[in-house]
Amino acid sequence: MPEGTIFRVRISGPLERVREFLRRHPMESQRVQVEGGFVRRLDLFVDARQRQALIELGLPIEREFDASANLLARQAEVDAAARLAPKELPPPVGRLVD
Amino acid sequence: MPYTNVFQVEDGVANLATAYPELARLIALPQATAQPPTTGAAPPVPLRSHALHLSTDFDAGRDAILLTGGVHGAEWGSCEILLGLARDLLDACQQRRGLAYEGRAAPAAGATYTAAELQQLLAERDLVVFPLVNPDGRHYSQTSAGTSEVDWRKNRRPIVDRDGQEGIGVDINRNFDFAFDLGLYAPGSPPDASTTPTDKVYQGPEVESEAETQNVVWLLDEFPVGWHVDVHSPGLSMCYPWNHDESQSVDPTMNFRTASPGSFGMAGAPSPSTPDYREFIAPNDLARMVQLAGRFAKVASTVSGQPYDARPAFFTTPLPGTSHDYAYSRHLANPPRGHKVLAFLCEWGDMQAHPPWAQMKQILPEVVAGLIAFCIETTAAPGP
Repeated sequence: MPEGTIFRVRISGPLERVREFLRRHPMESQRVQVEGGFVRRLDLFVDARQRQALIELGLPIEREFDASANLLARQAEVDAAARLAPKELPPPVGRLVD
Repeated sequence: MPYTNVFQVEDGVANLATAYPELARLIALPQATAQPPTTGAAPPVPLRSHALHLSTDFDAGRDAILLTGGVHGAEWGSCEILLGLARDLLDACQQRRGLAYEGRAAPAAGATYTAAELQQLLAERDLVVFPLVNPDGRHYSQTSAGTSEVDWRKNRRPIVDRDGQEGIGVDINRNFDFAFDLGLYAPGSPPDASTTPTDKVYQGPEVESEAETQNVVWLLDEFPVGWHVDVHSPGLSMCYPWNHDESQSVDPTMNFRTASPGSFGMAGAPSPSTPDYREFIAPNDLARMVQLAGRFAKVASTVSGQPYDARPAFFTTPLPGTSHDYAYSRHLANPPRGHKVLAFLCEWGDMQAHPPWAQMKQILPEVVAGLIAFCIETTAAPGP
């Protein structure tokens, strides 16, 4: 994997072991689901070193993807200098109904 | 149109104000935020940001709902969510029609708002919509961020702190005036914030040091805001305070105004100075925030087909200086800094802060529909 690659991972595991990881690697926790003393789901951004630390702590990685490759693909789609025309509006999201 | 760049967000805000002059006014934020471009090829971003004030009577001084987005550079879709919400509400209210959001899995399992519900919303509440708080951060994330910066959060201000440490940018959602002093956190319970300018969660050299932070504070000062939702990603949740520690509604004397150094800490790692510290939250406020967050989560889940959570923001790692803790704490500060604001952190998206556009288009209806439900729910009580 290229140096500096960041992974988005979804982990689970005993709450105390997850806390131990977060004590060693403070970071924002997202999509948290805890039942009793067990973390059913937790999403994190980790680098290769932190990913290895998860494995060494016995915290299973249930889903992961290469967030770095995703960023580069999305950047290629953005026209950084484009403008809206004078009367052009942001597109609607919903549908008007009576 | 795929993801908007910083110019298109600004154009969108301005064009909406022009297209709906009776319902929307442009708000010029007071602080310039742009830094010089970091590469020769990158154009400079707009110097001044703008927000939209939606109202049916701009002189009435109605309680307002503040919606902010784009605080973190990498969380691209938040701007599209808020631009789309403003467009939908303005269209519907001007044409006196309702709005429908189809369910992702089953179109019938969506959300519908009648014309009467939407008219009533704008008859009772103003909305202040600020889709892009951190233009520099978005621009950098969209054009220049490297592979190790997938979750670039900060603005792009060059920093040299008091100790001579250098770095680029401050995490705006760590820079607000709440629990900013990291000495308040127990040893062994590191908060998710840093005093090192090169770190991605650098809190800034001073509280409210950043122009972006000051612009959000200015909106809270200038408008009669009763509710604030700060839109972030990824995650499927609507969270409410507190975020610096666990909360409790039993002992009002246990609070941030009187907390001693080392009081705040991680769950499961009791602070040595105050082992049972939990931040007080008034029962009535908590009940109301649970209700509002739950309303968002229910509608977003219905449209999405995936479960959105309504929960306290704190999980295990304390977060200082967040906008939602700050906004809610303003009426509790000594001296108070305004009236009560029920404040929330909204997180959209399953695992990605900038999913492929085809996925983002599916996310937009669930979040917009949920936010409209939240706004309507605010009218169930006279004020915050």
